[in-house]
Amino acid sequence: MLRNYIKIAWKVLGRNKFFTFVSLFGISFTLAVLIVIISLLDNMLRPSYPEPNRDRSLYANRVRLQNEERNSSTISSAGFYFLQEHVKNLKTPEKIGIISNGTATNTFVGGRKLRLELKYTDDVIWEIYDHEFIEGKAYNNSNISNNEYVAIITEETRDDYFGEGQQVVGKTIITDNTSYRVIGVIKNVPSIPPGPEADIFVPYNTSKSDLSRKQYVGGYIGVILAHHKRDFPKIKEEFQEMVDKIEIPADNNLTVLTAWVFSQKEIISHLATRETNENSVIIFFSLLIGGMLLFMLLPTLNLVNINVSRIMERASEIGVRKAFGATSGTLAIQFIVENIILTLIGGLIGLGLAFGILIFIQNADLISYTNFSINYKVFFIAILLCVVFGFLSGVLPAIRMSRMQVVNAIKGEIK
Amino acid sequence: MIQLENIEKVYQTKTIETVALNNINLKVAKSEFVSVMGPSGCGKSTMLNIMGLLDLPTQGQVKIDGQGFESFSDKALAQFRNQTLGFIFQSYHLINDLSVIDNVELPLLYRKVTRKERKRLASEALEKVGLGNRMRHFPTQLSGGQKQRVAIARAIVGRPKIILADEPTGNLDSVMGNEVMDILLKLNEVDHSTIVMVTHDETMARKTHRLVRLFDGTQVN
Repeated sequence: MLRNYIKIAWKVLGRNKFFTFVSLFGISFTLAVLIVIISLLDNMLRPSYPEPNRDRSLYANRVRLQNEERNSSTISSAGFYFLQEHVKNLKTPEKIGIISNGTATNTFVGGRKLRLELKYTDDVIWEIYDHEFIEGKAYNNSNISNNEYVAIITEETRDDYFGEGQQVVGKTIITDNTSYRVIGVIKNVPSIPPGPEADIFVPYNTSKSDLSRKQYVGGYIGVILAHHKRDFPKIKEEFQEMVDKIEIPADNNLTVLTAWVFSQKEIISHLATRETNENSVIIFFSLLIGGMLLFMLLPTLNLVNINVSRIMERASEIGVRKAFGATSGTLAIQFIVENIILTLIGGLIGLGLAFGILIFIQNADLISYTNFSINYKVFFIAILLCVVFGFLSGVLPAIRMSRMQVVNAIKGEIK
Repeated sequence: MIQLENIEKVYQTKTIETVALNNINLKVAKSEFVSVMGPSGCGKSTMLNIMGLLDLPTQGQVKIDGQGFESFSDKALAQFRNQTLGFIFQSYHLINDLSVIDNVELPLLYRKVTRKERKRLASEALEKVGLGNRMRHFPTQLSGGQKQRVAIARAIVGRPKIILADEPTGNLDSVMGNEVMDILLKLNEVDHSTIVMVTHDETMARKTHRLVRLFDGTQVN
């Protein structure tokens, strides 16, 4: 039966090439755009270089201090003190690392000014992230304890500062008037928020700011690695309990402390919706799915229209099938299956188009060092979209077709 | 075998009421070959469609093997048509996108028959109408007579007890028409199929067992 449907679907496609072109163009263009969006999103959410454990990571990246009256507040990333003295004491996580937000620093090479993004980190961060070292290694606890001015730089920084492909471990890099000894060179890092990317990483204690100050709000992020994703609620609960216990000294004007830990999904949702409430993930994904469905609406309506006019051509076939024993249900299924086959062909073209667009984005370096791919998950979603698409655009014409009176259909009359 | 009891068919529009069939009573016995004649628009095809359960009468009852169909659902009617009736149309109504053998297989698609068995039965039916060598052709590559023979093969592939033919020779010249008629006569004689054939051709009609005449929706003999 299916073989017969495929045969007919194929022939029908060839029958009116203009209709087929319009249908396929609508489907493949729409699906290509949707696949690119899903792929970009997936690229930000799925574990990838250099965060293989992104799916079991939480980020303490937002802290708020308010006054008692709640009419004055400051909200920012976390302070180093807060992370080091409080967050690091959490028991449930496997590991907790600290990384600062990026600071733009200036450095000069042969009269040329280089702007480097610098991040301060502790040693644990190198156990959570898995940067690929081209040369050297990461700094460890003893480097930090000995107050060593060491640095890990990216391949690009090495090429810009020292020259392409040089051996640079042991050499000195000067940025913001501070000299660092290069201890490691890592492969370039894709830019994905909150992100393990920077041009140069140095130990936190080389920072000029006074880290011993009891700062709750500041420029740091705590990266919390859970043993398992299912520990997230427990970690969040422990985190809140810890925050609730903190008493801010009364000499500070802002004494009411609130702090949050977010998963990558929540961070992306916050960035997209500009909302930081708990519902932002639901809002973001509802908007995303709603937007996608809306985007699919136009080609769906177009396809419905084309399909309805195709029924006119096929009225006699429908009549004959009914006369020889096809039920309305069987015919409706046949038409929907034919339509799904059409959309699957459109989907495959769309997948090819999407692949091309992603390669273009990657090669044009629109998003630094990102390695886009259409993985099996994106592929599966794309196929699912095709089926939904095919079903939506086929079901209405199919119902109309199956309700045709046999006698009228055989005569080629649509009623 | 087939019984039409007080069949009336009225087409109603907002302004006009057209009586297509009026008080038709007809019995067709098992293995009988009946032809229906009458001028254009007299209701021949309407009667055949009602007989073939493709259309509903406004009044009256159709019985096949003593079975009435008032309570039959769309699905049950479809199944009954599939098992018991075979149709041949004046303009063949073959699906041009399908090969000859795929066209002939069509009624079997709506039965639980394996692909292999479908192919076997369809080839057999095509051999019977003398088109065993045209199985892979497409309808557009065939002459009118050959197309009608394919349509006959499609009608008989499921071995129905009744064949309803609506002007099967209407679009054919006399040579091809005779060929088609010979096949129908043979199906009746050898396989004992019950056949009701609507025709305009007196010569063809005289070859059948009985002739029924319609005039303005009424049976005249």
